[in-house]
Amino acid sequence: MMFALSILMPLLVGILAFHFFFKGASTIYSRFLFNLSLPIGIGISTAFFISLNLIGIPYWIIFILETGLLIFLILRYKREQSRTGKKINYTFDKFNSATSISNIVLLLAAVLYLYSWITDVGIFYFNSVQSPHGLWDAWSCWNLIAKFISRAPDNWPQMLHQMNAIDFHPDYPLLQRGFIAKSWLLSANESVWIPIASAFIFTFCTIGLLSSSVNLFNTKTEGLIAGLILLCTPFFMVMGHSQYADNTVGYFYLATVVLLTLARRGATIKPNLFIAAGLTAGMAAWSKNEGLLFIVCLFASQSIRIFFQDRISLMNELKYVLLGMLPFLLLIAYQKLIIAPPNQIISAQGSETFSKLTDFSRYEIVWHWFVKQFSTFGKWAINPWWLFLAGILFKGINIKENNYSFVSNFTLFFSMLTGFFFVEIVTPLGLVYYLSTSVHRLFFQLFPTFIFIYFLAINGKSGSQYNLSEYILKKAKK
Amino acid sequence: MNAIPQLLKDLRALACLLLLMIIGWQQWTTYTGDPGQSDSKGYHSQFLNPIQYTEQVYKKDDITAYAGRFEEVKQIFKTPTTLSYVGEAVVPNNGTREMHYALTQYYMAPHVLLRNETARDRVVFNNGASPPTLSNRVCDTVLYNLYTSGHIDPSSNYHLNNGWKVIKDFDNGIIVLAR
Repeated sequence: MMFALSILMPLLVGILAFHFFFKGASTIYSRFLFNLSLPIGIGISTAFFISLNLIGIPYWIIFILETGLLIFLILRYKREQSRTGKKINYTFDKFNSATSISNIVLLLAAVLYLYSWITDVGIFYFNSVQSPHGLWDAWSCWNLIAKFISRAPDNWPQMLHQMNAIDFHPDYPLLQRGFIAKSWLLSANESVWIPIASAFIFTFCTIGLLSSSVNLFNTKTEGLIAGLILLCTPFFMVMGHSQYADNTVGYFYLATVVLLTLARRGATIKPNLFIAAGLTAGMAAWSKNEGLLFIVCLFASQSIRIFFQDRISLMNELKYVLLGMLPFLLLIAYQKLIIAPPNQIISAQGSETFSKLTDFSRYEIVWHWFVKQFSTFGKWAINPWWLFLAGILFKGINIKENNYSFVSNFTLFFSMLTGFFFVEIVTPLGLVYYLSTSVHRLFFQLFPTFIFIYFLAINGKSGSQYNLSEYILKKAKK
Repeated sequence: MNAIPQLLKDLRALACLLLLMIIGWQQWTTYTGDPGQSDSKGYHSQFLNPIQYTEQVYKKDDITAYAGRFEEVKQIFKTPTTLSYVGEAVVPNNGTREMHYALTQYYMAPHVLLRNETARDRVVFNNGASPPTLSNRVCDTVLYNLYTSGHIDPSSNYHLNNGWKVIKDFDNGIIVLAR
């Protein structure tokens, strides 16, 4: 009962937040609503819990406060709705009964999606019962700190401060740990099923968000194919049941890029969506340290937009993004400065960093590992990159759509890859050891975002710069 | 001329069909045999007998099995405490030693277990023959986790020879000492 409540409460928080972000929308796509609301709700609800806990409020009072606030906001929202008399239409996936080859493809994609989703849920379950505590980093790093918070809710910061930073990483951010601890406290039971449920939510919501957002921007078939790519990538499920936070941070990268792109769709500025994008970027930074790099790359990548839009409107947009992420930046700063011992990568930097940056043999080794990842990526039986290339050849690349979102999104993606490359170069740990334990996971954090950017780029609905089919048509007319 | 756009549309649909076949085949491969593990028989047997599989493996993993060792020892410490930790050398390799330490910390949370970080690879973690690897911060209580050897050798133990006393020996390799 309480276990269900620990999931239901964030879901309600997320749905409320969603309605704030999309204020004024008359139609809402239900699959998109669900897959965006639940993880965002988890982030907001956990931030509320950790913030109040850090200022010394007992956890049971926090639960009462959260429930009361939630009921108040729901009632207020309902009253507001009845006052304006505006009805929101919630849409679901529907299929056309006409028999054309496109509809057959759509139907086949839907059947395959359902089959893959069910088998993946089964695979996730079987692997989870086999390793209910998750793989090494899950129990020794993520769930361990969750135990500290739930078993000592009054003085966990003091205990964390004394911990061995190299083995247990108490400096890692608190979103996943905080959510698990909060759920354990609420259900008064340290069940292994709570971290499993957390991993399940982020893994399957990533697939759902990717699929539904590509559906929003492109077509139903492409939406299903985008989801299928993730569903059928074997290593993505391994990342899920391992209970690591890579899928969590990957989810928030994707949500940020989706929300930014939505915010730039149309002519007018949408402050709420920029705030939402800032919020999810903040949640990424509060999920894993790589999220901090994401924030730096996010702002850096937006600067390229100076070529497509005026400076004042760009600064205006970024102001809202910053506003959205501010609560999480404050939480992160407090944890890094007051609670956690120094991060092992940051604290080890010094004169050695420069010598590593000028040691070109390190570049060669890292480059070799990066290239190797492309051939073995995701444990596919075949190399999936050829399929992506085939899509570009068939549909071309469109960079103008959604106010040139592709350019800033791709710059963000590329600067993240570059950032990961340099983190590997300056690592204080053994280079090959660090590469062998991190590169594939770093790539996987970006994989859902890459798929979204890819499908956005090959969407040739309008404003196409180069499109193979149009090119052939022009040739034929001549 | 109208035939060309239709042809292109159909070609795209056919390409999508081919793509879906590749994706479906990939998922079938995962289901019937994990390509990442050469000895894997896939997941179909689990799908056919999910309850039997769950009963066979659930809570039979190494991490869960380790939990039983700490039920009693946790009751000694009423409030969160910081302890020194000593492992042993008589384990197969460094990885196992690391795992024992991490698992002990996992089950002893919210008590903090400290060991010397700089010396951990140079000094032997043992049952007392050489100075144990203490943290830079010396705690008043030390927890021995002698998973393989089980007992402290009183004649050569560093702590016992320096005025520390055994508070409790749990008879499973877990021994708590204090000064």
